Amino acid sequence: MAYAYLFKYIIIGDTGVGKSCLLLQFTDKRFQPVHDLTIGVEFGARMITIDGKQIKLQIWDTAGQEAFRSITRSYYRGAAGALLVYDITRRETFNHLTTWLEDARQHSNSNMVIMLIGNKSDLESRREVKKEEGEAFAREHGLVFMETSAKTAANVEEAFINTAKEIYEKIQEGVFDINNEANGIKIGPQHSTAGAGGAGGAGAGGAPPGGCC
Amino acid sequence: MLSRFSDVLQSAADVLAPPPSRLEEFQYHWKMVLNFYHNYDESSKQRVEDTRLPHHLQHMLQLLVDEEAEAAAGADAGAGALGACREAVARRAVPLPDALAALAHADRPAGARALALALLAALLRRTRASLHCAPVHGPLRRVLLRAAPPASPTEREEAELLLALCGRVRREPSLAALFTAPLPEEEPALRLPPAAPRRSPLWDVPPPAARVALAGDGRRTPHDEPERLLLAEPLLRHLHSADSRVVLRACEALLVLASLPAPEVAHLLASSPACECVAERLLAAFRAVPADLDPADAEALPAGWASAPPDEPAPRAPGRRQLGAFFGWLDYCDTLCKECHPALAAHLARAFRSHFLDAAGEALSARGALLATALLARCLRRLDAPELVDEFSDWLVGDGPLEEWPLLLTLVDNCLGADHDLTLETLRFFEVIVEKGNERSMERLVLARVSSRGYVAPPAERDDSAERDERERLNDVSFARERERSRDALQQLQHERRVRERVGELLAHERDERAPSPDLHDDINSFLLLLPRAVLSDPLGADYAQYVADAQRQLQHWLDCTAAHAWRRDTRDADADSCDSRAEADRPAPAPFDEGPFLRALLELAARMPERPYRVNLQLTAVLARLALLPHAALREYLLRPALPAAPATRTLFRALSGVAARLAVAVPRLAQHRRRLHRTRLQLLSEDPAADDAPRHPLLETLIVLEEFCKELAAIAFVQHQHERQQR
Ligand SMILES: Nc1nc2c(ncn2[C@@H]2O[C@H](COP(=O)(O)OP(=O)(O)OP(=O)(O)O)[C@@H](O)[C@H]2O)c(=O)[nH]1
Ligand SMILES: [Mg+2]
Repeated sequence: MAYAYLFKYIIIGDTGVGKSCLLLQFTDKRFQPVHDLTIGVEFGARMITIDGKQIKLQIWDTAGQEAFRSITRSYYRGAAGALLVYDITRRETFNHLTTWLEDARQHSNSNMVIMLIGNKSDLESRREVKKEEGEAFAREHGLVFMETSAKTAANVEEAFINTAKEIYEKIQEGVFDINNEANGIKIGPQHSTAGAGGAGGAGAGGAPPGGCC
Repeated sequence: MLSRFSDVLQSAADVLAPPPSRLEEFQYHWKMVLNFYHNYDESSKQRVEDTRLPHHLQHMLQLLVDEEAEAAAGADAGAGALGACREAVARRAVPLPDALAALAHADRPAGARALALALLAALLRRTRASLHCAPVHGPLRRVLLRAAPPASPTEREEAELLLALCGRVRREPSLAALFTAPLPEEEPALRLPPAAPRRSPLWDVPPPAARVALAGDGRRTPHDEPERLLLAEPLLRHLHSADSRVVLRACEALLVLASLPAPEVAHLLASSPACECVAERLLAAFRAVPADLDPADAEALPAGWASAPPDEPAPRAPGRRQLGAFFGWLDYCDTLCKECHPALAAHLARAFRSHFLDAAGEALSARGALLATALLARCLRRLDAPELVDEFSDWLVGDGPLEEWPLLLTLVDNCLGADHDLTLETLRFFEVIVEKGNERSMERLVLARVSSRGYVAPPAERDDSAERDERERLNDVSFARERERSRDALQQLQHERRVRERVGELLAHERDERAPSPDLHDDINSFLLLLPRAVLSDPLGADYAQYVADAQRQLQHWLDCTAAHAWRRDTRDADADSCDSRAEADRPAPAPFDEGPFLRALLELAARMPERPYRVNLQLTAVLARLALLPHAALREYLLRPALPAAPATRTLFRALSGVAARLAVAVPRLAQHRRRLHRTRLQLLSEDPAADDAPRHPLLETLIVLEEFCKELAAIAFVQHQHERQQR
């Protein structure tokens, strides 16, 4: 399907925090009550619309288990956005955020937009991490923050779409080099075919006018 | 209506009877599975999806998962105890894993194999209970031993199961022993349920456990067949699959296994053909790149091994898919090497050389040499795993005498040949070789050649006045007679004075109690005055400061990445030696200086700059500059000290450049309107925008500009190196 841009995301965070469930909820609008351990990577894709433009999100769901970190590290590269997820009912998943952040910053490109997500907000009675703590962590590290529930779907759409909006804004500001696929952004076919000779300039191409950086 | 009525009846019954326990439910579904096969008609064309089989089996799996979740929730109470269903599996009262293994083998009804493999994988991913239990790992072993032939329709399910299994082993390394052959200990034979009908596919299969037991008989002696990892074999087959998702899973599974810290597994993997297989895939991908591909296309590919989802359509541009695949495999090798156990990394590096580099190197002397050179250069540039970079560097310089190492000789031939494009790619390769070379390759290519300092004129043969005259002459290649006649003579003198003053100023800025050595002054002047003013395009040397800043940065880079090299600890002071050259009077006469094939090729190219195109010359100066920046005393002296008397018949950089300067000084003024054209050429070449002015340019003028800039760069490097060496003292 034609799209103006393609953004690559990764979902990272401790095992069991609900990464695969978030992806499933976003792509299939389903909830999976069983923890089916992710080992390799799982892919998902969905089309969204921002500013009247079709944007394809290509999402890479990674393994949270420490033992599979060798694989997870391989997927950091070339992502434009990351959802860093913890489980509000398990304090240790929040405590590990710093390690995840270091790992992400070390292996990914520096412009990557990171969205911090406190998942399982439906389990209020078992909450171990206050919402304010998540907000404070996000502020301190320059992340966007949101609490979600992959079970009730609360805020799931918003989490993925707001990340895309941030990336989109960065593109408008010229922060991302959109011609280098290694940054996790690809210009869609309707754009690149417009630029003769494949020069792949940042012009608005076949899309509605006014989208030029 | 009727069904509504039966529902009501059922709920009434539910109220009356106590709800079945989880175990009862588990046993119920098992009974339904048995019944299914009891009544199974071999001639049936029904597919498994159209039967109740998936329903019952999935329920059984879910019951096991639920039971475990419940136990985990109440973990504080009675930890460690097996739930009733799990217990039934462990006692083989309900041999679910056996049944799944048998279904996977028999594939009856059609589709049962895929179902069984998927369920086994799910069982591994969704439950945590240990596999150290023969009724669970035994059937898994059998599945591995009876893996389907390549390209079977269930390849994807097999790949998922393998990944799940490797994941299990990664988390519980002691399991690895259970998935080796021959088996460490005898496996209990499958106990057939007495009621089993003879012709059911579940029981039809002769239990392979018996076969394994016969072969291994429990105890192994050193003469028995070597232990092998059962997981490795199907996994390596999948690496060759045509289905990219299967390949991806196999890559992930191998990475997971290889990253195990247990040395036993690393050795098992090393004795399997895993590393060789990965290197072969790399070679196949290398060979698949179409020969007519433009090497420049190899530049901006985002080629991580995991950078594209496996089902994504391949890029349409010709050759890009193959190129992407090649760099993808390269990245996988690199990743594997960085993540794996050190013993395996060493093995992988050897396989990388024997199964990839050796074969790829042959392409350097064949018709596709241009592309092969470009690919290998990028290959070395992208590699990050120290073991692979080391192996690559070692491969480039060989073991015996360097002059006899065919690979290097091929590269040198390519570099000196008539094909400018090949020269250019080879020089680019040389630049990477210098940049990423390990200690040994740098030693063999360059440093060992100069550390004897054989290039210095023996004191006996030194005729200082003659040398000085020579230098004077070279510094002023327009020759005295010509100069006197020329209107430029005065300007040249002024120019020389100005350059000397500026160098003097520059050196005076160094806050050092000792005065800078007069030799440094000479060295810098030699470079800056190599070309006579009359042919300079930029007599003011406006960007000299920029060259100094660049040189400082690059020198620092070298200092950082060679910090551990042995020669850095050798603090012998070449500068002090050479300042008073008479101090070595009693040194034995050295053998004639031999700069070795690598330096010789570079210096030969330098001497022939006027015959080469601009792009080649520019790349050549890049390689030479990089070498000149190495913080190595003798190399620095050899490349950057024109003031030092060099032994006769010795090739030095300065002599080569002087020859070129002399030729240009004569030829350039003969070109019509040479000053205006020179100026324009400079603007064309140094402008940021390549399309600004594409009027044809004269090659001699281009060469002149390269040389002019290179001289500034060398002067800057000489200055920076000198600064650094003084700080060291
Ligand atoms: N109540 C509730 N449970 C959730 C939610 N999200 C996930 N879960 C449950 O948490 C468990 C783990 O979810 P997964 O999505 O498989 O976890 P993961 O982060 O992908 O874990 P790894 O693949 O091991 O890294 C499952 O049992 C889910 O049902 C949520 O928002 N609310
Ligand atoms: Mg997951």
